[in-house]
Amino acid sequence: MRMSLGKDLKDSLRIAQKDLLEFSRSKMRLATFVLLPIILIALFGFMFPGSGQINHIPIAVVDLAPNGQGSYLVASFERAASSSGSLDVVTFVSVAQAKQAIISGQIYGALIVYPTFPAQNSIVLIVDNTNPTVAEELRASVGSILSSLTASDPSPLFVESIAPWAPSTEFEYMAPGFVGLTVVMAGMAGLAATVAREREIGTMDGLMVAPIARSSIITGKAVAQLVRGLLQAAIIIILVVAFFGVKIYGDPLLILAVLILGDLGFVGIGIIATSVASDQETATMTLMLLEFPMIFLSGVLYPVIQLPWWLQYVAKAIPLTYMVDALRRLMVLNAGLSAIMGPLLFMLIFSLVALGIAVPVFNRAVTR
Amino acid sequence: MALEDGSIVAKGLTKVFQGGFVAVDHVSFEIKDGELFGLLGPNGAGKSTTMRMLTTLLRPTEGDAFIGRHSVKHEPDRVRLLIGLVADKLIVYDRLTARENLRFFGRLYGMGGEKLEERIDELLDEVNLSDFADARVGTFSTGMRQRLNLVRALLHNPKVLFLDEPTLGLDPQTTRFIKDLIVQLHQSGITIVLTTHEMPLAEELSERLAIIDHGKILTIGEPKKLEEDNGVSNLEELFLKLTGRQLRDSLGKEKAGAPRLVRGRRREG
Repeated sequence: MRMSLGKDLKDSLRIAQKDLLEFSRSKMRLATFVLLPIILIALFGFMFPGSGQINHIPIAVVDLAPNGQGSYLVASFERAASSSGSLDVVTFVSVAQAKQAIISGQIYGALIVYPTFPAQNSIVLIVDNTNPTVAEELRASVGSILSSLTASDPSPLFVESIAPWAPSTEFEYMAPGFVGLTVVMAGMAGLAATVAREREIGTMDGLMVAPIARSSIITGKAVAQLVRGLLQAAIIIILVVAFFGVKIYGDPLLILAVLILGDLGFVGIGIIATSVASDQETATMTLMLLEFPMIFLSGVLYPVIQLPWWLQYVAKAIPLTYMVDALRRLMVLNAGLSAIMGPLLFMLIFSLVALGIAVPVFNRAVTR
Repeated sequence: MALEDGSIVAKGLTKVFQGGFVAVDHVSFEIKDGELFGLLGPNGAGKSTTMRMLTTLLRPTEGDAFIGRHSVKHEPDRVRLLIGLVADKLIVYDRLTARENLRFFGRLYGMGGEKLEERIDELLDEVNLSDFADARVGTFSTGMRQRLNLVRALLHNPKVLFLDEPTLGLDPQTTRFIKDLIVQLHQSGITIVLTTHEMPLAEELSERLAIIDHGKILTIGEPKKLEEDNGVSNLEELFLKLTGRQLRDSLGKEKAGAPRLVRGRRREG
């Protein structure tokens, strides 16, 4: 006998409510729950990662100078950039197009040659200042190439920021990453722990023997974890805004949507690990194994482009990379929906695949 | 009378676990509506696996079982509405109060509102837990928790109650209390399947019983009749006679060790 979707949903919400009620009753857990984000932020708020040599930074060139006056400079610039390997140059026709490409993350900066060239300040470099390490690197690379090409002093180069409102600190770069990381960790590890605990103490039998869908059990638990993750994200957001001068520009609803969508996929991974592992400890350890590389490779702490090329491929296979990327664009660059379509699509596919595997695996693991 | 009945029919029920271990091997039996049935056997005999298949927690590898004529394989949700389970581990949440526990499970059975609250009050009263309705279960003694666990299984008025070692680790008072409750439930017409290692309890309560070992039913019938047929005076002797060899061997080893200890102590004294 199949129950209706409405009933399944109600059953999941009841399980979610029960899980949260149980959670709220443990003072120790509540304390660690609140302390974790505080410690994380306090730690990294004062810790700035050092910068290394970054290569192949994508940058656009827009030549607006009339009568081909800038073409020699642009061609020499492209040649110098490609021979040093520091920049990957593409050509755009308008400033608006270049700015949009920065916001949607295709390029990290744009070099604009204005019609007044070669007057002072007629060459403008727009940098993605939400990514300070990369912006600094870009400024240095472009500056050194241009000074070798143009003998004129003072240099015609003028640097602009894509988000002049944003105080560009390393921390502002990291804050959205922490928000995403917190939600994901809660979804993955928290879920594994609660399912394994109910199996070990025996209460899972009580849920299994009730006339409810198997999927209601796991979705209910996932919802409870999502609520917890979002609460922790809220703590982080409040902290970084109140104490570390981070400003959030994006649409709160879009931010929430990205957090939920990203969380779903990781909840799926958590479910799979929980179903496959025999006990709580094994599940937790398996997930730790997945979490650690994610923290360092997904662009939470360091920009992905700063990684060695082969690790960049690994990073691009990690869904958290896309979630953090989308969050950063939303929160700092005030990007719209269209600018984060790519990462959103990736997250959607990842969530569908992960949950599509997870739910049957869970059902099989609990019924055998 | 209700339309659903609490009869149980197992037909060739079999469970083979991964790795090929046959826990239950083509077991067939019938339990009548309203019967109090004992399911006995040594550890690892297949009792719990049988019970988990009957309660839809494990899917039979072969064969099927019917609770109130509903297949545990094909209509698990119908079966779940008919049964209550007191498993070997307690199904109560320590961080919730007694009332919150019952409310949560009641809602999973589609109950709610005033009716559920009344049922909770009534059941808590029945097991003398009314004064602790709003205390967290974590603060309860083992006996109190088992009493709550029992009424949790009864919330939705099941037709069949499965009791897996309901008196394990309880003091004599609680054991007595639970025994009386089982008798009372039996009198109210509910079918009860009881597994226990306490032979006197099984002998006193069961109308009929089955002794299982190595996944097969060794004998099934009324306890007195089975004892007569086998020429033994009580259930414990019957149990040992039928399942005994291995058990006696391991007991024998322990006995061989015991006198040495006793002698040693004597010398010291």
